[in-house]
Amino acid sequence: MLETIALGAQQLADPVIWIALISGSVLGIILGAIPGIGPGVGIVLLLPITYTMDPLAGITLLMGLYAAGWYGGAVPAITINTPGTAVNVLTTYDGYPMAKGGEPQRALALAYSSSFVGGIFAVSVLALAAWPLAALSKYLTSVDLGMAALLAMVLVVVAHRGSEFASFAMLGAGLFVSTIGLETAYGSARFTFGTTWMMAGVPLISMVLGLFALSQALTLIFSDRQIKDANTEIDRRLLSGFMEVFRYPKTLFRSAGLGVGMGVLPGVGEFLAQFFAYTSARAGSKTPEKFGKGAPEGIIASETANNAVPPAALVPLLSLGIPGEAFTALMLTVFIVHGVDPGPTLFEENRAFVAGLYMTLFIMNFVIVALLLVGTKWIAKLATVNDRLLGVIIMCLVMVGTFSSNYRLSDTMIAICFGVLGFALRRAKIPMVPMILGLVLGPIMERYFRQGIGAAGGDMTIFVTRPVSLVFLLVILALVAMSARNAIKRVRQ
Amino acid sequence: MSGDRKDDEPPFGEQPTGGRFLVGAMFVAAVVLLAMVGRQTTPGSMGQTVMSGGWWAEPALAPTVALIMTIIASAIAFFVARRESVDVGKTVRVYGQILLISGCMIGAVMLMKVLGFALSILVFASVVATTAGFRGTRLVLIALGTTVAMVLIFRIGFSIWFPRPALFKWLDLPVSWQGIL
Repeated sequence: MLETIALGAQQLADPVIWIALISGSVLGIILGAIPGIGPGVGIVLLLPITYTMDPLAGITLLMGLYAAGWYGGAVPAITINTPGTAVNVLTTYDGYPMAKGGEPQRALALAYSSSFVGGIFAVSVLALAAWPLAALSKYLTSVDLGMAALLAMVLVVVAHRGSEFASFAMLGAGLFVSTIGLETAYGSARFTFGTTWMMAGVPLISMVLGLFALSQALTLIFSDRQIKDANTEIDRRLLSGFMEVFRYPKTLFRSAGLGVGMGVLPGVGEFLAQFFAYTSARAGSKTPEKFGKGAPEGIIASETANNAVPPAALVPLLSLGIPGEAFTALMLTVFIVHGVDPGPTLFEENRAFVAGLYMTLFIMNFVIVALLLVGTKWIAKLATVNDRLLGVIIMCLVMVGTFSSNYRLSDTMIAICFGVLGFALRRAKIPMVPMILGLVLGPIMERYFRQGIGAAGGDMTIFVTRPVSLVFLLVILALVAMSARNAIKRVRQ
Repeated sequence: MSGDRKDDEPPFGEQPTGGRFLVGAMFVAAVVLLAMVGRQTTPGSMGQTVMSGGWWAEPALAPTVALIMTIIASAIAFFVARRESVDVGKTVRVYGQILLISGCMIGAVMLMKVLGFALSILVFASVVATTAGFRGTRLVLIALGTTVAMVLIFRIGFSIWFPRPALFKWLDLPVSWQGIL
């Protein structure tokens, strides 16, 4: 343990890591505090740049954005009753009434301190759980890992309750897109339509820039959101309320535990984590009637749970090499570009990287809180930035981002196609995440299944004779059956 | 995205539009692509020697499975989706503007080889800002501000290389300026 800490501290001697950490945190807070943008757009826009960076610096930058975004999203949720990101929705329920009741400082201090505890708790779990899980995964075969990838996809689809079929269709579309191009194992051209530029497949950068960033820019350009003036009666006495969270230890640690549990599970994510944490906090509270009217436990539950998710989401990625949601799927591409293989070998061959990652994730929470304590007054004003102006800026960033990745016009055209698709999907409220996950996990699953079935000489019983694979298969079947039953019930109603 | 809302109104409460049409289009596209699988998945040269001949290694397998998944799921999603009336005029207007912006983006990328990075961004930002409804001084300020920000981020901050434009062959600019613009 001490050796890991020393190794991690050594990585922090590099000033580039600090630059990535601070700039990621600043950008994350800013993007999180502007309603309607969120850290996802920032991650997508910065992804091509991280390919040119050292893997630790690149991942630190993206994780800074990812974690700080949820911290920043609490600011407009509390000051103007508009969540900065979708995962801060429940913070508005108690944060805004508390602020409206004359205690904006207290609400913000509770949100920051809860987020901090959630983040630190999740980093500790990551440091303790990822390595043993990775050690166990050495005994997994291709069939088991292929089935684990399939389970991740099924969980993502099932998590989109109410739109399971559309999510399933999106997953299928993502899997199909992942097969386009020259298949590397046998050199077969698939759906290239005789063109050479399609041989390289659909570039992930163009696809995610289009689906997430360009579609967001188009949505903002056509937005008619009325801008509310932020409550600027905020001074620097935020630190004084920082310890109040520890008066509610049950709510605090139960929410952190729920956040970590939901973060580790693929596809579940921040939204369900905060929902479960909020519901269980209200159920366990002595004063449930105060929820929705400014209950401190409401803010604690929501903010602790959603900030525990980002580090926890790294557990399956680092230990098994299988991302559970879109942002960690994008981070997997940073690993791939640098030849860093997440999974069992990562902890043996790249110990310095792993130790450095733990250390940066730990320090990141201190940096973000420090930035928020200093800058909340100005951050609150970000919610009043004009949506259309943001749309123009994001649009220009997308244009430069798609072209500069390969200097090919075709990449820009692909981004535009996915941008228009993303815009239509946003309007229809059809989730895009399954498509991204299909694109990233598709080749991984195809490779594992080919290897596994090939090694068994085409014998499909390998999926039920391997105990781990059998367990995954049974879980998949149970999830599909439950989800189908619920969907049929809903349709009948 | 979140709109401005009343205190008691649930957040993110906008009505979804066009979902039925979208999953329907996905169904049709997947059926057409499935019909093309045979012709669009030609076995590669390495497949003749390395491939052990198993069905699991067929290049058509993965796209076929993915397309069948899409067809089944989109068909069910189509029938499950709520019927809705589409405002054709508004839809045509919005997607027409998107088409215009898309065309400008392609044009701006092509212009980079002629006018250079900064000028093509300026042209593109002006068009997008006009489409977004900005006029007069605000339009000029936004276009100029965006251009300066892009130059600072990409050319100076990250030193990202872009092809040398034709315009610089005619203009006698210092090399350092050519590297930025």
